[in-house]
Amino acid sequence: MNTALAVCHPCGWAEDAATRAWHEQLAERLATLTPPTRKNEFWRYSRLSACFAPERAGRGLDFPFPSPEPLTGEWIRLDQGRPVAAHTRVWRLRSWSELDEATRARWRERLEPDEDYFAVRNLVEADAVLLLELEQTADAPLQIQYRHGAGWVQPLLLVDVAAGARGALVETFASFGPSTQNGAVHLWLGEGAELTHGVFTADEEQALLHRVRARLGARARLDVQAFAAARRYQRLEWDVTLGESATLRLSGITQGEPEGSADVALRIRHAAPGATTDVRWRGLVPAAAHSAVIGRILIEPTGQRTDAAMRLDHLLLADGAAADVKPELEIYADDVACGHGATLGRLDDEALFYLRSRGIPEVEARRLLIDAFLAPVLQRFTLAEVLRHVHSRLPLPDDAAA
Amino acid sequence: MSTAELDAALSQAYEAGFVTDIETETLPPGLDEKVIEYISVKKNEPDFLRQWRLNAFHRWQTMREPRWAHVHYEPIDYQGLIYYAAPKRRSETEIDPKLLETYEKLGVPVHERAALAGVAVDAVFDSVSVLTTFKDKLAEAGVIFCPISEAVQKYPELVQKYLGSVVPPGDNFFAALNSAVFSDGSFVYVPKGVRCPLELSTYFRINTARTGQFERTLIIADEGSYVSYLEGCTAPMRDEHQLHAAVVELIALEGAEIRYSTVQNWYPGDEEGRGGVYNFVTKRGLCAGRGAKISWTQVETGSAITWKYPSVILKGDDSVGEFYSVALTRGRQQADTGTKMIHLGRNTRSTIVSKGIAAGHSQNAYRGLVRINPGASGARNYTQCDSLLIGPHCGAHTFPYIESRNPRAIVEHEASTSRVSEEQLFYCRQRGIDPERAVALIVGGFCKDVFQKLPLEFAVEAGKLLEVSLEGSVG
Repeated sequence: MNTALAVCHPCGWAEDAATRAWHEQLAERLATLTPPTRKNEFWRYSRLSACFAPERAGRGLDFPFPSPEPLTGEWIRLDQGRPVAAHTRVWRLRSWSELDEATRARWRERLEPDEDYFAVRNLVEADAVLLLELEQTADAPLQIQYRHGAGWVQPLLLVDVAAGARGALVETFASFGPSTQNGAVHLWLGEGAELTHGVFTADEEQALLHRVRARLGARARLDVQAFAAARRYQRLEWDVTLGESATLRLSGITQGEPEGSADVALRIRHAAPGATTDVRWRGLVPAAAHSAVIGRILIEPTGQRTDAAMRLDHLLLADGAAADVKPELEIYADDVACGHGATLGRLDDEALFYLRSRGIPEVEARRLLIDAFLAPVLQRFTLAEVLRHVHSRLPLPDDAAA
Repeated sequence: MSTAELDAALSQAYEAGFVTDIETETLPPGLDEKVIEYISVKKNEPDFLRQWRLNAFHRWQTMREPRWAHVHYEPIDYQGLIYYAAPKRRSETEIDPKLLETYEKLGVPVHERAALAGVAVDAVFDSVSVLTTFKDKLAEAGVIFCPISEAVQKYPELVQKYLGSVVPPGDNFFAALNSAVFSDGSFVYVPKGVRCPLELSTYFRINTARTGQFERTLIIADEGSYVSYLEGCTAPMRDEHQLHAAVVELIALEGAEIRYSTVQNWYPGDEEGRGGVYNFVTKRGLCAGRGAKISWTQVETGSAITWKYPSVILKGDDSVGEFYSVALTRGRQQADTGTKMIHLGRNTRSTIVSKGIAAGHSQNAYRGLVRINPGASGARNYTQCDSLLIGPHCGAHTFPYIESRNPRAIVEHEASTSRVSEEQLFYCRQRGIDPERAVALIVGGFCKDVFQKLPLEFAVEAGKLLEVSLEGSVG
């Protein structure tokens, strides 16, 4: 199936009465909300002003995007938040307009938003709503390519992985002009389903807010592999609720850029017994860059026999680098083993000396140590599509490693 | 363990819950400028202090009570509290024997014959300091140890220089309230190069109903000096909540060291959460000079609600900050406690070891900030915060904030949460130790790192307190 999708209404919300009423309620709620400030603990370290810069206010795109890189396998391309081309085979792709009422009702219920301004705004102003369904095992990952160039862009993806199905999803982002993307992906994993989710962001001009909300059924497994490089402002959010004996493995790397600010916010909720969470995030912060990771693991009273670990590490590479980390545990069940660890530091002088004393030039030695620092996360990256992008960014160029 | 036995164990748990029947002079409930003027006049304060209080009061009126902590309580009626209560004195020199009895009963060495205890005591009862021991012996070494109200009279220049220099009146809602109405507390000055010959101690007691206690402690360790200060506190069992909003300021100049230890055992309220002290305290130390050291050690077992973050500002190069804490909550107690280590100087070091134990229906949260400022090259921090859960209805939480602005600093943070290990319990029981004793033993081991940092007298008391507090939590 090769589809060029044309969406008449921005998203399709207005097409039936029930959705229209639901959408109106959301719009009313949005009117009462304001963008978060630093008083909100989850936005404490955010440098949000980039999102609201005046040049991002307009919606018009007055230049064509360059010819896209050819994609192979299954893929979808979204320009300015709307799908322009797709090729899917095992995955089933439908827009909101194509859904029957029962499916729409199910998703309206699932999309019940919290009080977060950006989450509600994404639902209200979504450029397009796409539903992706997987009912069997897909061997190759589905690639989703977002391209932006102007104004606020708000794609919304709904992903339904049926019980027992297995697949992978890779999202990549490219921007060609000042824009703000406020995107959301809602993942729904059925019992025993497995999804590997790659996210790669290395934007040029874009302020990016990307929110992943995932609900894992019993024994489901979500493996996240993320790489974030921020030249302006970027925030990646995961809000994950785990079902009984479900597993979340979340691995990520932040590569800071001068004048850029990268936020990662994790909200992980264990609401059923026997679930496992394993988070490992590492950040490289050069001069004038900022990286923040806020992670909360919440264990509800029903989340007995939880095993949760969160490891957040940062390397500050030069003067003017800034990093903020807030790893939280909120635990209301007693039969648990939870832990977190965080480090902020520099390259080890002794290790550097050791390498230099063996004739390795300083830049090369630093690069080796940086690679060693990232290795525990990179080893967990299995998606070739993500690794290909990551290797285009690493090892660091000489001036960044020096 | 049967329900009756459990109830008996719990009702015995708070031994300091008696009331001293003593004649007191109290102000009617309510807070306005007149109350502040009254306190100021009563204490014959100089004009600068009266003005300082009024400014703090005006700041307080514009401030909002903080609600970010992981604690929940009904709004406090600040106009329903008594801001000044003092036991009536028969004469200038004579102290009511009932007061002395109270402290004897609490095990506080208020007689100088108790020199074996090796501790000089300042005993604060409601709003005033009732006696201070070993003043003369300390004076021989040049150490000033007296109620802050006396220091205002005798050493106004020291008080004016340092009061509010670490915790300014507008620092936070409770600090502003304290600055406006503080009635007594301890003042310590250790001169240059002096190692204080005795452990100094203050014992706080809230006795009168509906009274807020707002003591202010100011400790200054001049260059190269050393002082160890202990603080204990209790209150009677009452059905209504009582407010304790203290401020403690420590200043360590070049090469000086201050060790500040607290065993906090305010009345925690009953099993249903009725009564108990709201312990909203601001404690902060400033390592002002090179090589200064401030060490906080706290054992928190009491209070219905604890909101407390003893902090260190590491301004002097090579200065050291330490925080060792055990916080135990049970029943309906709630604690949100931790520390702040602000690294400003070069090669500054800080260590945080926090052990939280939650039992019953209590909520126990660690909240700590480690901030490395751009100038703090070579700074190091190590943080370890562990939580232990006893029973399925309690909560243990960890909220660390780690902020670094210097690439030459190293920060390490570790945290773990688990319940009492079945294997350890089994091991103890196999050797004939009953479950309650076994849990106390395991918890004692869990807290060992912190108890080792306490002065001997306090370490023994803290161990006992923990054992008593755990009674009835198991079974």
